[in-house]
Amino acid sequence: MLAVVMFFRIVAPSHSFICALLIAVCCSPDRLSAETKSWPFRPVAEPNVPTTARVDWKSNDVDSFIQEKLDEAGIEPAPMADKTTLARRLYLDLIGLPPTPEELSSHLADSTPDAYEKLVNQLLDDPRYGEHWARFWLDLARYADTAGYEGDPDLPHAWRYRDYVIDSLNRDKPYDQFIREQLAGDELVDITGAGELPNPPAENLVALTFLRLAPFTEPRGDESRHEMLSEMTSTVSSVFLGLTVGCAKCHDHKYDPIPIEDFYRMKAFFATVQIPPPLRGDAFQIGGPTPTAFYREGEAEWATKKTQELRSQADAAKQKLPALIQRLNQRLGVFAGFGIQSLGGDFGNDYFFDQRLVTDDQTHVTVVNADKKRWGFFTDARPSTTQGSLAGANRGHWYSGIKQPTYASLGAATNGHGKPEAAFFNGQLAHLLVFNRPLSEEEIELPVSSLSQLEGLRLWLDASDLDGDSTTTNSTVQDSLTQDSEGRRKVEQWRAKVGQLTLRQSDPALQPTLSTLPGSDTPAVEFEDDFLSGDPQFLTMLKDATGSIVTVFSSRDQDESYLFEIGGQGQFIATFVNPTAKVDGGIEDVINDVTDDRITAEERQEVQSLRNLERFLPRQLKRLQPMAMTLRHSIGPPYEPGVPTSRVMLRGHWNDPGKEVEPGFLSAITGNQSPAPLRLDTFKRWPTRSRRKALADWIASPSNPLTARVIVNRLWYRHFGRGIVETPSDFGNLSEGASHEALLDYLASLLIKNQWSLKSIHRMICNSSTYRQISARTDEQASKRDPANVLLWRYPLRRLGAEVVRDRILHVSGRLNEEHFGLPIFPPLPDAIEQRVRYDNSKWATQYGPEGRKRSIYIYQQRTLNMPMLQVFDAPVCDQSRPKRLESTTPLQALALYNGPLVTAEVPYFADRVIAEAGDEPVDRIRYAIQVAWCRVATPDEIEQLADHYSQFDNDREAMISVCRILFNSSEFLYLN
Amino acid sequence: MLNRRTWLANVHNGLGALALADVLQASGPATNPYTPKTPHLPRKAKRCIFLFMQGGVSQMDSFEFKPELTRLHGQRIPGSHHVEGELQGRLTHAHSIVGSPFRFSQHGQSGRYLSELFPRLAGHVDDLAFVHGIETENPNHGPSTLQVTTGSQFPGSASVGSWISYGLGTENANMPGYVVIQDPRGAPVNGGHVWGNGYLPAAFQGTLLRNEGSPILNLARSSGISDQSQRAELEQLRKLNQRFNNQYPESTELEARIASYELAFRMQTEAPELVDLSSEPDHIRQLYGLDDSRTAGFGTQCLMARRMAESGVRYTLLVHGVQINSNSWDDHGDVKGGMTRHSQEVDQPVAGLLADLKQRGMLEETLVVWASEMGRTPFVPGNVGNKPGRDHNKYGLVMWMAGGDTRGGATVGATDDFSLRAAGEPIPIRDVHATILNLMGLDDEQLRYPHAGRLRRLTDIGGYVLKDLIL
Repeated sequence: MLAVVMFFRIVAPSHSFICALLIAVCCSPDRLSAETKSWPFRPVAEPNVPTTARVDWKSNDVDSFIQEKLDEAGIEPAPMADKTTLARRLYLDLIGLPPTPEELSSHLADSTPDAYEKLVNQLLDDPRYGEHWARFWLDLARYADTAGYEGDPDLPHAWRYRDYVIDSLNRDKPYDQFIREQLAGDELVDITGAGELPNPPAENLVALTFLRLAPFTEPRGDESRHEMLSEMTSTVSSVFLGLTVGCAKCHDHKYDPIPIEDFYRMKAFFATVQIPPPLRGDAFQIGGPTPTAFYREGEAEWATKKTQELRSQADAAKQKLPALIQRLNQRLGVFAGFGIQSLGGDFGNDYFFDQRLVTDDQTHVTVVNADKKRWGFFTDARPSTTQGSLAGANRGHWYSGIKQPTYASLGAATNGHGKPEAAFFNGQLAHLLVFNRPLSEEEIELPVSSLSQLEGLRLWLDASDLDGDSTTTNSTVQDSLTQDSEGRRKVEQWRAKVGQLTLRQSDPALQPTLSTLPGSDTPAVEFEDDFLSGDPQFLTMLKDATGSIVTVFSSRDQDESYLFEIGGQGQFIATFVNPTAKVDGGIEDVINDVTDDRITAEERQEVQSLRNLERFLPRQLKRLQPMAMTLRHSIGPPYEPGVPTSRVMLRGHWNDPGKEVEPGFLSAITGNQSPAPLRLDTFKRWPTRSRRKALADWIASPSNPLTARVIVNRLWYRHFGRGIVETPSDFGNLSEGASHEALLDYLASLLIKNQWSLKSIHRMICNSSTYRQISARTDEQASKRDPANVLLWRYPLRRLGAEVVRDRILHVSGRLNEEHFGLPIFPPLPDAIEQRVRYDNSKWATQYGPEGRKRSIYIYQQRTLNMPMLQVFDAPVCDQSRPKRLESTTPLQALALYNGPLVTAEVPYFADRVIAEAGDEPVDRIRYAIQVAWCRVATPDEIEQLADHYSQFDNDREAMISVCRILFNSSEFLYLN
Repeated sequence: MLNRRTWLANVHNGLGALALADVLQASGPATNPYTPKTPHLPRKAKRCIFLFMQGGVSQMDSFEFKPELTRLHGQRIPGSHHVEGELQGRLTHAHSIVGSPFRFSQHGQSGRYLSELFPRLAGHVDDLAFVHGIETENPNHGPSTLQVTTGSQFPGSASVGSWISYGLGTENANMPGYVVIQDPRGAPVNGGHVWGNGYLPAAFQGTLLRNEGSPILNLARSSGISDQSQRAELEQLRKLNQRFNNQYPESTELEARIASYELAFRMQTEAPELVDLSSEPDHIRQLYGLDDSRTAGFGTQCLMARRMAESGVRYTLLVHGVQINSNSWDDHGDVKGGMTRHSQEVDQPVAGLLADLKQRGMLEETLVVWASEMGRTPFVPGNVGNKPGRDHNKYGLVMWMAGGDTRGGATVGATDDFSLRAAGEPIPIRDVHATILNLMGLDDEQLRYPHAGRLRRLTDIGGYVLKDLIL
């Protein structure tokens, strides 16, 4: 065996090949038929309800099944928990928030015999139910708002799928319909005529986002398509069928009866999928969005209103920000700035900045001065102190990298070869003077007016925002067709202005001409090859590595920049101003460094909020477009690809085709590998249609043995912290089977009987006595026989999920924003970590206001940035489908709760709330704080203990804050019991 | 399968994380996940420092001497080469060989050629064991970075450090077992995925050590709380929690939560001391290049790594380079200027780290690994031009290891005369991973974790240990 493997290793190093070989050798050929009929592949049949249940304990049939197993183990079930405990349990479990003292007391006051059942119904009808339970589905759907991978690009319309899930759960959408919409929402409407394709309902299109949430960004032809469709196949199988079909991508499944053909037969259902191409500028993403109307009641109006609101907020921010920055700048004593960049030559790719924000509309001067020994630069006549790391390393040969300049350009960076790569001109007015000698100290300090009298090459550059739209750059304006009265495009108008530049060049024949650079519209001043070298004056300057560039500019806008490039032979120097660039010690650093107390936290937040409103406006507006990240089937020939031939891909490799397969269902379930029946339209005009529908119908069928079992087990898992099958996405042989097989089948048949109503299963579970047992039970014998509480002889004590922890803190402090649905939110992150993990620009539009305090389900799921507060409590940002969450206990959780910014921010609000609502007596306050935090009446011991602590303080508010912090950190706050 | 009630931690000896019974399933009796575990193999290395150079280090300008490239400078690559995908595409277009602009000379007893860019590292050449011709599956930064750091080119797998801390636990209960110190200039491609725990429990993800302020997130007390008032509050908390626990005498989790507060605040004392470099004498600071603005960045990272290793941190990941820009090794243009700069930034610090570990007798117990995500091409598209660069080459990654049971001076694998691809059998990254695990005393066949229907491994289907690298 080993020898064979070694041999293949040499000729075919692909790992999957070796696997395939091993499988071929090791697998017995008749595993398939042998295991076809075994659980869970046999059909769901409604089992008989055991009759042994104690009448006094049983609430519904669930209890009979539980009791049967307990009886077998000789364990008594636990008594029912008290009304308060049960109410708290239901609230946290069904809506993910605790009851308020008022909600709790109104339930306690209801003494009717079905008060509990009424509360179950009430909470299932509460819109907050969907906001809590959507999380389990989004974990499964590997939902995220970014694509992950290289660059982690934003998926601007993914959030609509999150709202779709919340809404579907709240409406108790039948689970079979929920499946059909997500797998084949575009194919559900029957075609009865010969005309056009029907428009699928917007809701169905949004549902299809499910298939597009794989963490890919690299569009690389057939390989990407293969990986993408394979990911769909694996995810659909594990989520809906609880089978790890993905294991059969490279070889027959090692443990389950899933041959490799079945993977590719399943994948063939997706073969006609057509992904809309990415939008312009999004080329590094797989696919773009499609117009899809807002469909929920009031959603379109909300989007319109939100759009207006964001625009006006951004406008207001634009007004406020410069004044604020100027105020801060004045306090910090910073001054106007300038940067110099060299891309190539002896500098390498470096930026040197001496920079401050320039938004005061005042005139500023910067001077770059170089002699043979050193170079330096001066901003408003002050010597720079931050010249970059190469200061000194390039002594004396600053200009000498360019032996023979061949061009100079204004406004466009050409990377040294004269072909523009990017535009940097976005400023108001710049005035450049190039001298053939270093200026003296006195000259550097001369006022602008007299400087311009000195000899030198002089250029004027007016590159104001060409289209007056601050959200566009001038480079995009070049594509625009906007014309003035003379029919000139904007860029031509600008060029006409620049054409008036003045050059102090004595020989008219050597005057530079204004034109565009080859192959582009980018304006540039072109010099003859010998322009600078032809005039001894300039030749000297370049060869001697001495000279000076003076930039005179005024600036209003923080994004303004100017560029003057001179170069040749792939080398150049460039000067520009870009006040937003980062530099040590600048205002940006002061703002970003939360420990710098020269500005207050409020000012810092204000700057960031205003800036974010403006900076993220385009992105937010994009999100508000009526679009969805959906897909459709190819419309087929003659317009698009027809039905492709599907093949097994050997070892799962994208270009290693094996035998041909037809779309077909899993043979482990059907018992054969026959092609699936595909029902085309009557006129057979759309041969590419109805593949996914066939799969969806088969999955969402009452006769599919897995679908109903898998989903009721998932619900059970979330209610008890443990599944009847402990591996909710793997019902195969690697699972340990079901602890209560009959119960699972009972619930599965109930689901089907109840028209796939998930709420009916929640109701059944929550109303059972099993669910209502106490959690604090000690029973030596039970512990010994069933230490893991598999048989449920008590309600399992569980730590709350990350989202519930955060939401509960905000709820208790009274600051939770309960607005439903909408754009992703960006709660503040500790210590600007969004800056630490960013690629280019941070995607995290921090919201310090109420927006950022919506429920956790709305938090932007950035695949490369998991909110630390949620991460420490085991919340993933999903790359893959996540059937389970861990419940860890770590010191990092202690640090997050005790020192972290969320608790630190919310504790005073909690304290103030208690002070306002509980009167003046410390004891009353403590009692009330415990009531709010723990949702129960405090015991005398607890009150005494905390009152003693309270009395150590001189200041009441401080005492209360301390008590509240203790409560937020308490185990009882974090556990569901 | 997961039975979170069955673990029983001696929480006072460990970090008190739990709910990890599925981890423990594989490793025998239930225990705290951070508790030191017995390695599978007798190996000297107890800790690992992984130096990751973001961007794709040019192998023929650093560790591979290819005089043939100099000879053929400006010409096309002769002959046919069985390369695929992007590289094949580039070869079919006009291209020119770029000879290395750097001088190579032999060093040490092994006589290995190194370019002039690593004069200080050259002094340690006999301690280094090189692997050439490593192949990754994707020629782009994102995927290949993930493959080198997690074994898979797709996000969601566990990083090498997570596997090692999962396999060995931690030696210092007051510090995280797996620490990441990224380039002060920013994050690598894929951000936190590079040190992610993937499908392993969250307890095994890398903890990002911060460059300024408090070294671990939320370590600093919020303002207005004194040490004394913190003590008082925690005592109240302990009492309340104890009262709650009394209802659940069998719950080890609740016990662990109480312990986690005690441990958290021990960390609060230890971690800041650990990252405080002010106690380091001048000659050590110079050894790491802290006195030079060019080397101070990575020098600080390296010095910090030594301190981590000293304090018992199991795995320290250092990243040099920031995603894809001029601060990474991604020299598409001007490989001469770029390589000069990047190598200057790391040569002194890395050599300093090796020297320092050695003089403290720690190199024996510390495995040091140098890696990047891929190699580079020996050619540029079109003409050589004035400042030629190099493109991506997924066939030409070079890595080296030192310390522990590494056979200093050894070489495994080779590339052809052009550094285009492996000369013989290419070495897949999983073989390198298997070797790293082996040097850490872990057998990659035994180091497994159940996920999505399979027992997952760092090496996926298994790697071959590069035995020649091991003493």
